[in-house]
Amino acid sequence: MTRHPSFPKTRLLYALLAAAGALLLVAVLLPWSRAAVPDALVPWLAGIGSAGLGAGLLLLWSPGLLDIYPRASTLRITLDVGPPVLLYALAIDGWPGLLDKLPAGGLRIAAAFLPALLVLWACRAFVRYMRLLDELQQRVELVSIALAAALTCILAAAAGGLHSAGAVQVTGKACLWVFPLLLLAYSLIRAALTRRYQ
Amino acid sequence: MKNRVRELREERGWSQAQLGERLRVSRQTVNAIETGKYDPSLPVAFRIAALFASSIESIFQPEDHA
Repeated sequence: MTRHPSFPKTRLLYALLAAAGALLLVAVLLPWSRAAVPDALVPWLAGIGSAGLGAGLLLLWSPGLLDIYPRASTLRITLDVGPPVLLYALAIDGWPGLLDKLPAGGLRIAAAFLPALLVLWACRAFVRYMRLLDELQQRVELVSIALAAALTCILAAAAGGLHSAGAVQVTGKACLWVFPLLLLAYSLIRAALTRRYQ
Repeated sequence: MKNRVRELREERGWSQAQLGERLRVSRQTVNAIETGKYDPSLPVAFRIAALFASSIESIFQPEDHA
């Protein structure tokens, strides 16, 4: 295996990213520091901490992840994929509450479709991203998204079955978490496949 | 599938990234081809053969011919 000349340095950066994420997560979740952080910020800081910890650990485990796409296109990919994913994260947090404030009727029904439109926007960004990749990278991405979709369907079917059996209560809001679950599964499977080809 | 891509690349003093640029694939893909973890498509195999001015069969051989 041929490694980048800067491999140890990048590994250190990944370790620092994971450590910073873990520190933020611990600081936000510890009871004595919870008092100093406004309640509204806790989920966001915990999310950022988890994302940092997860990304750092994934990069340490599978350093080739950043080799997948052309470096020259990093900004374009970020601008394509970032907005729909970030807006979706905001929608999960605030959209149900906002919908409650809208008058019942056509406007509320139309507004309810916003998360679906954001997923469609993200799908378009994914297709544009795929066009930048070579054949092996496309294979990794397609297998990752297919396995992630299968895993998400299995979990959704299991949740539906358990709900029908009265074992768990699945609310309608849980449907908003299907897309993040798909992204999480995709990220993990993609890291594993990338590591396999390193 | 065994191949001589690494040997031919090193003869020319190219890095994996430089070979990737010439083949229009990523460094990761060059590495996967060299280590035998990925067999390239026919178009990429033809590009490799043309780049090294060799035939495909002189670069790629089935494992049982080793």
